[in-house]
Amino acid sequence: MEVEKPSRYLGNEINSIHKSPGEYEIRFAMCFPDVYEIGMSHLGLQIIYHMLNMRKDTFCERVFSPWTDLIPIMRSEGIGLFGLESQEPIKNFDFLGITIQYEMCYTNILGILDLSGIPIYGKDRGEDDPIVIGGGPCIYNPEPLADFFDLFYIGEGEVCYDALLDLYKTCKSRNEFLKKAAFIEGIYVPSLYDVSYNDDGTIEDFGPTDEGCAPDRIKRVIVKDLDGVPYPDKPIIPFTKTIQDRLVLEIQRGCIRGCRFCQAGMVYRPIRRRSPEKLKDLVDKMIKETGYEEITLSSLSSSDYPWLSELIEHLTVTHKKDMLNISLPSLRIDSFSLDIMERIQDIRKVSLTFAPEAGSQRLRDVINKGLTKEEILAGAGEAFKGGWSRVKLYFMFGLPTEEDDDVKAISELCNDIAEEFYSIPKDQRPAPGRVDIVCSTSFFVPKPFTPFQWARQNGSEEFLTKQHILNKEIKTSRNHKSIKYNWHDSDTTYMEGIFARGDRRLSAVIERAYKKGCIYDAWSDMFRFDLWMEAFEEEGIDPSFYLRERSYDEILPWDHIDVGVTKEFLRREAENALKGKVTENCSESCSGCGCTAYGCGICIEERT
Amino acid sequence: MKYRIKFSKTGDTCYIGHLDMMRYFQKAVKRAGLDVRYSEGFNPHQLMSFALPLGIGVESTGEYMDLTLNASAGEKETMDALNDVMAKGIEILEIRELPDDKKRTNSMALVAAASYRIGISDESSEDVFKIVDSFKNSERILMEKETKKGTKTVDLKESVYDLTEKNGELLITLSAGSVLNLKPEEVISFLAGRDLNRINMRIIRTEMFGILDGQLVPLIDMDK
Repeated sequence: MEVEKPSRYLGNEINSIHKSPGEYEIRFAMCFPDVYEIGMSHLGLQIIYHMLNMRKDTFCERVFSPWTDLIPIMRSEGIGLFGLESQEPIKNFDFLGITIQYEMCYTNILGILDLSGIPIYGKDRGEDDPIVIGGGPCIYNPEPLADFFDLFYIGEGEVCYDALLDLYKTCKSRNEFLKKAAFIEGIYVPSLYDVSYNDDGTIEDFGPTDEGCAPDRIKRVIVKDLDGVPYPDKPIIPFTKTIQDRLVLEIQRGCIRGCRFCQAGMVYRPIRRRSPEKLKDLVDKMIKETGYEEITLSSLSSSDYPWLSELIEHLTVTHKKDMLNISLPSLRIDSFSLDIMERIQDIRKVSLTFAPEAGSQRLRDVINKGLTKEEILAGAGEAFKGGWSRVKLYFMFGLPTEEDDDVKAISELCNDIAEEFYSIPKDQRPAPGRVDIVCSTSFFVPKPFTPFQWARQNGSEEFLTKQHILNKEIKTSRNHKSIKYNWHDSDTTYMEGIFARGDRRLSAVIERAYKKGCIYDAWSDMFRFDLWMEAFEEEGIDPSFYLRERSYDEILPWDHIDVGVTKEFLRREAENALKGKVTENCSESCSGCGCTAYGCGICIEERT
Repeated sequence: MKYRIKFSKTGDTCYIGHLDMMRYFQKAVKRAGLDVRYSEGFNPHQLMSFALPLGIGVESTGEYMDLTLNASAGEKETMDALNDVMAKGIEILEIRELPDDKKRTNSMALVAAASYRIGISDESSEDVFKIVDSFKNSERILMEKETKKGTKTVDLKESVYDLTEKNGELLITLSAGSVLNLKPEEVISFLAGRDLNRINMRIIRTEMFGILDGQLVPLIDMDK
C-alpha cells in the first residue's frame, strides 16, 4: 500500500453518522488538527459531532490532519482535504470548526486550511469559503491565531452552536453573519478588533475597530447543568487502535483545587458534576451501543467527585458480566483512593502516580498544590502495604520563586518515599522486595488566566541547568539505585511559552514556519526548532519578548476575554503565591474568584 | 458451545487490518448481546479465533472465525444478532454450531487451502491470462518462496489446486495455512513473469478449505 493505515480515512466506523444530500442545509466539518488516532481520542470532538448531528438541518462530519505519507499524494494528485463521512471537499462546507488543544498544533491548522484550498488568512476568504471557527483551551488566548480564524468560540461547545447556526441561515453574506455573530455571547470575531503597540512592543490599546461594532469583552459561556446537555451516548468506534481506545465518561467539569500553575483549574470553573443517576444511565447505554470493555472516568480530579464510590459500585457490580476494565485518572493517593483502586481490580498493580509538582513544601505552598509531604508519604506507605511497588512522580521546573534548594528537594522527596518502602519489614514488602521510583520532570509554562500569567518563563539554559543539578543530586543520593530519572528536551517548552502568551504579531511567524515546512510540531521527531528560529528572525520578532515577566498594569493580549475568574482574583493569588500563602479549595470556602457570577455548580451548592 | 462463523469483508472494509478486525469483532459480539465465554486467568479475553489473516486491500466472501459461547444460542439467532450490529461491508453469511462430542479442531488449524477471484485492471492484462494454459501444460513449476526460516522451493503443480479463467477473471485455489501459505499475488506475479501488485489487481478471497479424505472441503462443512 502507498498509504499507511488507510482505515484512518474511511469514515465508515460503527456509530458514525451519514446523511444524504437534501437531508440537511448546513454542512459542518469538525476538525482536530492532528492525526486520526489522537483526534478520535478527544471527547470534545465527539460531543460536538453528536450534538450538531442531532440538528435535522445540519450534517457534521469529521476531519483530521492527513498523515505525512498522504500529504504529498494529495498535493500531486490535486486531492482537496475531505470530510471523512462523505469524502467530499471541506472547501464546500459551510463551517470548519477546529478544536485547538495544544500550542504545538498551530502549523497543522495551517496545513488543514492549505490542503482544503481555503485561504489561510481570514481576510482573504470569500463567500464560497467555509466560516472557520476555533475552539478549545488554547483559544483562551486566541491572539497568535487571530488572523487565521473568522471567529472563535469562547467556552463550552454545548451552549451557543444552535444560536450560531440559526443565525447563519438568516444571513445573506459572510460579512453580515460575522458582524451579527459577534453579539452572540461567547463568540469572538477577531477581525472586528484592532490592536496598537507601544514602542517597547507591549500593547498600547485593544478594542473594537468601530465604536459598538462588537462587545468590548467576550464572555466565556458555560453549561450550567451538565445533566441537561447532550452527551455522545453512541460514540464512534474507530476500527484502528486510537490513543484512548475506550469509553470516556466525563463525570464532572472544572476543579475545586485552584493550583496556581494550572490553566484548566482556572478556566473551567466552577466545578459542575453530573449526577450519579445520569452517569449510570449513560454508561449503560454506551456499553450497549459500543461493546467496549474499557472505560475511563474523566475529570480533572476524580477523588473530588462526591459519588465516586456509588458509581464504581454500579460499574463493578451491575456490570460484572461485561468484564469492564475501569481506569480512573487523576486520583489523589490516599486510603480512599486505594480502596477504590482495589475495587476496580487494578490487579496488575503496576504503578502508582503522584504529581507533587514541586519538591519542597515551600514551593508546593507557592503553587497552592494543597499536598503536604506527610500526605504523600502516608499515601505511598498505604500503597506499599497494599501491594504496589512502583511509583511514578511528576515535577515541574521553573515554577515562580524556585531556587536550587527546591530542585534538590525533589531528590529528597524521592528518597523519603523509597525509605517509606524500605521501612516495611522485608517479609511484608510487596514483590519483588524493592521499590521502583520513576521521577519525571517537565518545564513550567506560565499560562493566561492563571495567577502566574505575569511570571517570567525560565530560559532553556536555566531548565537544563536545573535538570543537571537534579540528576547529579539523585545519582549521589542514598537510594539512587531505586530511582530512575527521566528528563526532556526544552525546545518544545520554549515554543509553547511563546504561543501561550503571544499576541497577534505571531500569526506571520506561524505562517512563515509552515511555509518552511514545519508541521506536526507536537511530534518530537518532526519538530524543527531551527526552522522556527529562522521564521522569528526573518519576521524581526524576538521570541524571548514573550517569555518575560509582565507588570500588573500591562495590557495582556487576552485581556478582552472574560473567562470568569477576574484579574483582581488572579493578582491576589499571585501575591499570595509570593507569600507562600495557601488558598482553600472551593469545597472548603469561596475564594471570590468571580465565577459565582455564573450562578451554578459548587458556587450555589452547600459546602460540606 | 463453539460456533464456526463464515463472513464477508467487502468494499472499504478491505482496508481494515487483521488486528483491527479482531478488535472489531470483540466489540460486535458484545453489542450483539452474545454470552461469550472468556478465558481464565489474570487477563481474561474472549474465546475467539480467526482462520487466516487477510491482507490489507483484499476483499473476502469467505472469512472464518470460531467463537465460544457459554451456552447454546441457536445458529440463526446468533447470526441475526450479529448481523444487526455489523458495519457496512461486513456480513455474517453462515453459522454452524459445532457438535461438542469430541475435542474440536479450530479453524486456524484446519485451514489448508484458500480460493480467490482476481480481476486485473492492468492495461496489458492479456498476457496474464496466458498463464492459465501454460500452467495446465506444465508438469512441474518450481517457485522460490521466502519464508521466516529462509528460502524454500515449492512446486506449484502440487500447491495450486486450481487455476482457471472465468468471465475475464482468474480463479485460483492454493495452499494456505500453517504448512504452506501462498499469497495469490505472489503466485500470479511469478507465473506471469512480472510484478503485479495489489494496486492493479482486485483480489477477493472466496473460500477457505480444510482437507477431509484427500478432498478440499469448505471450513463450514468440515464438521458435518
